[in-house]
Amino acid sequence: MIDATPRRLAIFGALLVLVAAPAAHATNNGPVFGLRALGNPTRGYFFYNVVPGATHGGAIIVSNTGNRTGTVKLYPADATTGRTTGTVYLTNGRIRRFGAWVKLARRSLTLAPGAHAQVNFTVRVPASAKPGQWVAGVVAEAAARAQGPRVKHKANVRIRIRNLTIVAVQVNVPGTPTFGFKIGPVRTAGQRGYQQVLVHFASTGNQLTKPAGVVRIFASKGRLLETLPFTMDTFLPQTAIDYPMFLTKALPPGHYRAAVRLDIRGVAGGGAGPTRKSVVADAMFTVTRNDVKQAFTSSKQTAPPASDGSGSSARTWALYATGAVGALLLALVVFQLGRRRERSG
Amino acid sequence: MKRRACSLLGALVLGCSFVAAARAAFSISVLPATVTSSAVTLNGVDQTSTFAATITVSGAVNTGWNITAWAPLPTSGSNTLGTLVVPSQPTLGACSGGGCSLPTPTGITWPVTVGTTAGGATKIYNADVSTGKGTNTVNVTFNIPVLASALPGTYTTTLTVIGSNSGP
Repeated sequence: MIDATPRRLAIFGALLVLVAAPAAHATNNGPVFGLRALGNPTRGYFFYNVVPGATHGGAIIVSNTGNRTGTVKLYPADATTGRTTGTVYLTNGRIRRFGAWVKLARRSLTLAPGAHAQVNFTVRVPASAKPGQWVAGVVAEAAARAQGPRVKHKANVRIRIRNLTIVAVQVNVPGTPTFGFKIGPVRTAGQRGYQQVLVHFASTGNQLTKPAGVVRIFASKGRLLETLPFTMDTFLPQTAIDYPMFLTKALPPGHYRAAVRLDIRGVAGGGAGPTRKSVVADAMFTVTRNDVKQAFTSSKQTAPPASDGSGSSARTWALYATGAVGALLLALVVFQLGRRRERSG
Repeated sequence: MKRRACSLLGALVLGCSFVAAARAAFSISVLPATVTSSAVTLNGVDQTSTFAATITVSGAVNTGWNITAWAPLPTSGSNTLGTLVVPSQPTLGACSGGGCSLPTPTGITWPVTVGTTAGGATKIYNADVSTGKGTNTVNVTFNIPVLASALPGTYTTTLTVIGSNSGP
């Protein structure tokens, strides 16, 4: 007769894993990686003046403030202007602009909880680089990600969340500063009860700016309908966005004129400096019936799932389901053992 | 004896400051790592599926910080749902750590439509200069529009949440 002990142990182990794994997952929040710009304690990011053809060195401190050992991926990224202005980073792995100037000494690190390490990098400005204030970033991304339960409903969305920590690297290539903007087409957009006007702005200068301005909306017969003042966050040079502004009063279908004024202000000490230049433009735009329909469709809001600190309600259901499967397996094992005893008896 | 005590004290202070410096690294963590939005029974009218995430921001310096996000449209085979939206200003937990302060957001108007590409990343929350120090938790609710024409299925997407010290 074959000894059944190893098999029993294996089944017991499998059951243990089945029951213990979700519980462990529910309490584990894993490694958390932080970044610090070495030598830049007040600014919090790197700020270098580098002439074309020269190289500058720097270092980041990577730390794991989480409760598990983990591996962090380190890579440079391009920066651009976000949809609502401010610096954002292109973290999809393709480097086309100033991120290519940054070379890290290490691409990944494994750190225990509470541990930290220094990673050196260089910024090499090509000889052909044009004068200006150019921005890149150094990204820390947890390489391993926890997997959650998969559930099936009629229409739901399973969302995996990546979290990245980034430190900026600003490289100033000396030369004549230029401030310029082009104002492009104006259109409307919006959804779920909100109508927006989108104005295309493109920076043609070589400096970081924090512009402000105003958009005045006129009816086709010239009556002023709305005045929309705005203050932007950082606008990176040589980038373009369709800047959204909420309309305070909905525009019905028709033809309109937008008078746009942009006051270009340089970045000084984290805030905006004095106005260097103003750009004005007039643009005609049309609101169609379809635009209005898109912005003002009826909708029924549903309440967010109750937060229990461990994730979604779906996760709770998955835990119940796992427990039920575990109990079923346990019952099956007990039944099998009982049958064997009966046979041997 | 006095000299030895002084050097011991010096070493202690140096050690403590090094540890403090190491701990001052800026980081964000987001929980949960994977979430399933509230299920929607398709009934021929536009609806909204929602989910919540808690973002913990630690080690910020005086310059303030930004949280940006982007997520491709949720897909199920060739079917897609609408763009993720942060419908209202996220709520805050109590801050922790010595000298901590709650963040004061600036220049953001909610609702914020989350960009669908890395280049279209959108600021969903931030801390103005001299605010948001120490460790802060930001509770964000995301809405996903499920139009009347949406088809049944389990849709998937990846939400990228990016934290950075207020940079240039």
